[in-house]
Amino acid sequence: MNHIDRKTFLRGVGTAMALPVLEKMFPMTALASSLPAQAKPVRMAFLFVPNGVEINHWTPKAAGALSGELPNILQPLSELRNDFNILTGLTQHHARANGDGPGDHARSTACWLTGVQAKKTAGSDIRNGVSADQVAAREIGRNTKFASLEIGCERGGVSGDCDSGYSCAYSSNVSWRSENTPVAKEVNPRLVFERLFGNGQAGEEKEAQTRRDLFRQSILDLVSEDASRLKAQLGTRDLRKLDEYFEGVREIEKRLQKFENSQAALIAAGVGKPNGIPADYGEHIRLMGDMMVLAFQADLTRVCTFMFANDGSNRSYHQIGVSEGHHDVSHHGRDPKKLEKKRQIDRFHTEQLAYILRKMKETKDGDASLLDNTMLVYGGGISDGDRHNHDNLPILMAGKAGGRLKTGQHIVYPNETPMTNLFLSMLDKVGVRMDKLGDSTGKLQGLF
Amino acid sequence: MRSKRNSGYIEILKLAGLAASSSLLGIVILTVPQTKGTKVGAQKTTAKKVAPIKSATGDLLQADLSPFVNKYCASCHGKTSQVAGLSLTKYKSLAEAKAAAEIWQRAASNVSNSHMPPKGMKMPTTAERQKFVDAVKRLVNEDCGVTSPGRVTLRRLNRAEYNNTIRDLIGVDYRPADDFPSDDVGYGFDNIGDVLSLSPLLMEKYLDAAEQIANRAISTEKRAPILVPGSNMTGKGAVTIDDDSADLASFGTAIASFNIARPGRYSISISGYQYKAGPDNAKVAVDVDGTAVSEFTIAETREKAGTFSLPFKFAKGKHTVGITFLNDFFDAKLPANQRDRNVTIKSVTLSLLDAAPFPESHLRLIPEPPEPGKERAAAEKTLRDLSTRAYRRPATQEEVSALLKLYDLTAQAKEPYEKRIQICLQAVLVSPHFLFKVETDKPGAKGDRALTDFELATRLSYFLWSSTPDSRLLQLAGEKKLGTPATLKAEVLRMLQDPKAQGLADNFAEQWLQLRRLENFQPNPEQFPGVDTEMKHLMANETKSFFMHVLNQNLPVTDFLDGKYTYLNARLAKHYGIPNITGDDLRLVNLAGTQRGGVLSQASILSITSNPTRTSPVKRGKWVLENILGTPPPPPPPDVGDLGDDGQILTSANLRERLEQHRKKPDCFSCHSRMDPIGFGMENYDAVGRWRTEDQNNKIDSSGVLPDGRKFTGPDQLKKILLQNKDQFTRTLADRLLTYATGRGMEPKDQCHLDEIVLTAKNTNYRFASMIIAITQSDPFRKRSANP
Repeated sequence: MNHIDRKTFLRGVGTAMALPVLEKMFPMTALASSLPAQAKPVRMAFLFVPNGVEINHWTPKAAGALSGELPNILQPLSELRNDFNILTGLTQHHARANGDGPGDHARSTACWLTGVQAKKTAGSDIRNGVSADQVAAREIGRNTKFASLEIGCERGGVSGDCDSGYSCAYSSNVSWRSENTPVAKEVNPRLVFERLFGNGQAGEEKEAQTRRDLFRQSILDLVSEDASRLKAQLGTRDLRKLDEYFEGVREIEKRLQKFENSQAALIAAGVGKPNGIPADYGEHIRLMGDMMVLAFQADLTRVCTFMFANDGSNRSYHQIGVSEGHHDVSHHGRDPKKLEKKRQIDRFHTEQLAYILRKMKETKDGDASLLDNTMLVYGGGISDGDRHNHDNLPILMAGKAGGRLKTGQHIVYPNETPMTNLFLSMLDKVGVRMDKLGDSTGKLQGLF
Repeated sequence: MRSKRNSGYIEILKLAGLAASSSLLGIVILTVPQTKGTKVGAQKTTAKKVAPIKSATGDLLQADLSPFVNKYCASCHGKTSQVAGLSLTKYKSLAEAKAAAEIWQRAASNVSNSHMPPKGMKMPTTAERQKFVDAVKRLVNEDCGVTSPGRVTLRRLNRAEYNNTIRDLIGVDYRPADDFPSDDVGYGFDNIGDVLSLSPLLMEKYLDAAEQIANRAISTEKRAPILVPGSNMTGKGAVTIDDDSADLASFGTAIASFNIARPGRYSISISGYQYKAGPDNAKVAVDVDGTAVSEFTIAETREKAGTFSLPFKFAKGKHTVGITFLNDFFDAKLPANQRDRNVTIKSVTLSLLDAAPFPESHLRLIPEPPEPGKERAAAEKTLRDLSTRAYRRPATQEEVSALLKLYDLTAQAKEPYEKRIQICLQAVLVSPHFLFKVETDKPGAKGDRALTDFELATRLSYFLWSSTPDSRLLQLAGEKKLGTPATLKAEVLRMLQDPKAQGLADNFAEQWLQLRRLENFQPNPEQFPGVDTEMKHLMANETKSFFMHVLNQNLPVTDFLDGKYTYLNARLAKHYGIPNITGDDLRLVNLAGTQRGGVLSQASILSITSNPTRTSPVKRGKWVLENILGTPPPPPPPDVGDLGDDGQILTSANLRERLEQHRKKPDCFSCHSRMDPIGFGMENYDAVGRWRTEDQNNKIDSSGVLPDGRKFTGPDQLKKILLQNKDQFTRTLADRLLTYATGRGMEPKDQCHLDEIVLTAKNTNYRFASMIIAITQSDPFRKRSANP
């Protein structure tokens, strides 16, 4: 109802028109949104890799400190070993068939951050749960221009159902805003940059920007009324679609009221705008990683999901000499040659992760580094790409959560420990108290 | 009920006949069945009999379904064993069975195609199979005469539709939706209402796109001439500035100052007159920024001022134009009105000479600048027209008033007229009425209704053009004529001849045939050099051009499988080893005498069904089952292992061996015995579609045996077998077309509608355009149900 009140207020402003009035309001708005001087916020990131990993080259031999030679796939992260943990034994039970038949790629992706059994459908009625990042975004996202950022390197599926009767929505989205709404991701670094920092209107004068925002607000008022009138003539399923529309409008309105973050403008000025999607996959991942780091650094958002690829991806990795598709390779059937190729792909991914973590570590954030003020989860919803098992998932957690998280450990949990317990603990650390998320049974011990 | 339906068929047949003489047809020649009467008669006899759902021996489940299931299915799909997670014995009542209509339908399809029961099990007789299939039909449909047309969920425009709509509605060559997030895909297409979601990110993109479009569509460039009246000039020397002029009495300069926002060539026009005295006319010099540029004489007098013009190129910024009086004359001896030569300058005007003409998009919305004082009336007309076209139905007064309120706001903000229209255009482009293809129901409505003519126009244009209705469709809708079968048919034919029908190839064909998978296909460059992005485009375009050829020539849809022609350019022809094709443009090529013909021999399909290093008979077989035969195999069970590509590249020969091993496993047999042989039949085409007779010195074996025992060798014989049942392929195509056309998944009840469409196709010799007409005449396309 707040919304209506404010709208009515703004319409009042509108009819009186009054740019001068608005200009008077302007400094107040700016004041209101400037960051209070306090400890730097904790950021949350979830980085997803598809098709499982070669688990024999992932899991450290023993529990305890990450010392000595790390398993092959983790070696690119050797110098950062005191900045992350390896968590073994976590499980996504609802990534399993549980009577729904095949479709592990899609199901485990949908389940990865929700812990919910996605409804098996290739068409209408997609249903999953709300993902951990979105639960966080609802709360801590209120403080930033963007509640959350969703990025990746592959667009959604291009044709047909994506995996054995599961909609492409499941296999290409880890972030779910509501049961029925996956949060679309951006795959073009240029577009991410423009979204974060504005569309080349850096030189736009304040007055022009205020005017633009005012007109935008009036446009949104007008179309909201259109939509409200439409409501009465629609059925239930139609209304669900229209609700998405309303939600989108509200989201933009929220942003309009937050004045451009001057720190962001400064940071944006210091880096060039990317040109588009690089042909080289590694460069693509790193560039998207840069965008995530920038967004955190400028405090434009505190929550990010980043899918290196969609699950079931059959991309070939020419750059490291693997010409077969990733998915084909992941079904190794214990063939040593395929296992070797799978290991190479997994290591290629951790090399990119190392780049991103290094960058976060080098980025100052108050008195600490950005990495210190982050909780970053890296991994996937499938353990062994051939067996399609969802227990003992390969999970890495980097960053110190503002000093609250002990790092440099290989922590072994009893197998079948719900992965959602980890999310519950993470949410707790950013002040989001929840009793349950998906199939969680409580907070994860031994981490914080 | 029954006879009414038959008359519907007759109507369609009649229409097919009518069309042959239609001038709209162009090159389309519709083949009319020679013996209409018998066809209709034949149709009568094939009409499904409606049997009661309860019979004397109990209900349908007890009497007809359960006995068959218990005898032939239950050992694998029963209570204890539930292969593929399927139990057919768990339904306790008819109602429960009806609720699982889709499962029964799949079972019936498998039984009817002899895929089930699998080899080695007890086999039902043909009559038993038929009885089971009929019983399932009755279970699902009860009565085709009262089948619901279904209900389409509110659909937003997808990316392709958005781009096309902007192109056609606004007239700007700009594809903003290329930067939108991917559209969600359901039932094989990206235009399904239930599935398409609208994320906040997309809403943000809509708003940004609207702004960009408005900026591109409407020019806010200042083009009006810049006029400085004499009264606003400054003087140097003997100059008097009056209320309406600058007067030069003796030697002096009148200076007009300008701020040039847009640099370029301008015409400087100086308007003035002289007071004549002495023998000569008055003479003045013109300077720009103090530099002399010209001189001229003024012969005109006060009664009628004269104008002198000269061109000058101005840079951006502040400039002055000075007019200096050169030849003062005074003779006190002369009569008072002839003694003093003076000059009066009324104004200096700068007009842009080389302004680009307004873009067409601008003139659509602002044909000419409105007269001062009449802006709001002009805006009202513009906004009414615009929102009517954008919302694909007449805008309501309420909607126009709301837009005018926004206009007023911008006017109060002192924005120029063009900018005001820009802002209103933005609002129109983010309105739900624009972004969604809205079909509404009156609150509390029940039952089915025909679409309004406007709703129909929208469905038609997004089906055939992937774009917004043109003015003719909207006009016909306004006249309430579009809904009549004859007009509807004529319009479909007109629309198919329009270049915008390419939308069907770009969106329907690309998705039906899965051509979009080519984008992600990366063959091993060492084995298949030269299959780059351009080549992949050529492959896709070959298939799309071929598709459009079948459509434009109204050829039988069976040509998709065996048409002996295609579209090639030099590069693609070389890839295929077809000689004597030159040039970059794809052209129609006769394939007689080659090993090719139809989509199954096109590089696009052959590539997307291959692995990066080798062909995949399994994927090819699966593709045919899904997209040609409409009998997709269920997904493989987990943990089945694979063929053991042990890093070495498998040859065609040992691939066949491995698959034969694989097929021996009982879990694998039932599906692979359907998929593999079809794929084997295509083994003469390598992983990027080139013809081959051997693979690493092994002769290619392209023979196969289908589960029902039919044998073939090579692609030609395979195609013949696939075409033995034309109706099966036609039905698959009808299912795909109707899904795409309505934007919803097919439900069990749609089988009745599909039956009708297939029948119409059959009666018009499977001509493609006729089939599309049948789709647009079908209930699911023309009606909607109010029931969710």
